[in-house]
Amino acid sequence: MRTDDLIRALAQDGQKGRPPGRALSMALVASLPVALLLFLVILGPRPDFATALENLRFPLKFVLTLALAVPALA
Amino acid sequence: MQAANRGDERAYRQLLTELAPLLRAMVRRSLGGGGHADVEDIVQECLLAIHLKRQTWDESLPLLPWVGAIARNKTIDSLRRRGRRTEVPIEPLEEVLAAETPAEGLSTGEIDRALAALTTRQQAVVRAVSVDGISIRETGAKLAMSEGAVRVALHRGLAALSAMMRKDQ
Repeated sequence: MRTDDLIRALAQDGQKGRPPGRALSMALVASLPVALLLFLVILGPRPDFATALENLRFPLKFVLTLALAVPALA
Repeated sequence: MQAANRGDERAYRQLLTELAPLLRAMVRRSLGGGGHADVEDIVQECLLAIHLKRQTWDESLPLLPWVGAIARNKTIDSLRRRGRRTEVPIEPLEEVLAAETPAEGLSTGEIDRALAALTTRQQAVVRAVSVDGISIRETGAKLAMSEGAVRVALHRGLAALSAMMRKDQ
């Protein structure tokens, strides 16, 4: 096939794929609730959740995970 | 490219047409000296990849490095696929090779071979729009398909071509 012919076909194909940023956002919006639900049902939060929060070490685990997740998404 | 992404078909076509010689130069430089029959095939693969992945280009970044990366990857794919023929010593074959180097714009038909493996409908649409140069509306009339169906078949056909080229590895 001549390259010019190929270009002619490409120019007429107006259908675009989804931009990767949007695709990731949509996947996150769909998957986060599912992950949360699975956690609550299968593992369940620790029974002493409220008291554990007082000890500094426990909330820091969340801080660390968030600190990794947020720049990864940016 | 930015105009093309907002739907300016003429700008897009002009961009692709101007990119082709640029891609040819990039590929030739990567492949090194000697005549290469594969250059045009690689250029066509690059154009197809640029087309299918155009929305992954970050508009705030320069275009040419993005194009260059695609060209480099497709050249590597081609070398892998064809078993690095270019490393064979070519001195005894120089006269034969010079005659075999095709004119610019012609390829060894790698995409044509992949085209033949498409489904009948996609093949017909892609051929009509590219080789025969018929417009989408006329293709619909000729093949008894709606315009929307033609567009979908064209896009899927092009995506299938790209998948087929990558499958060979």
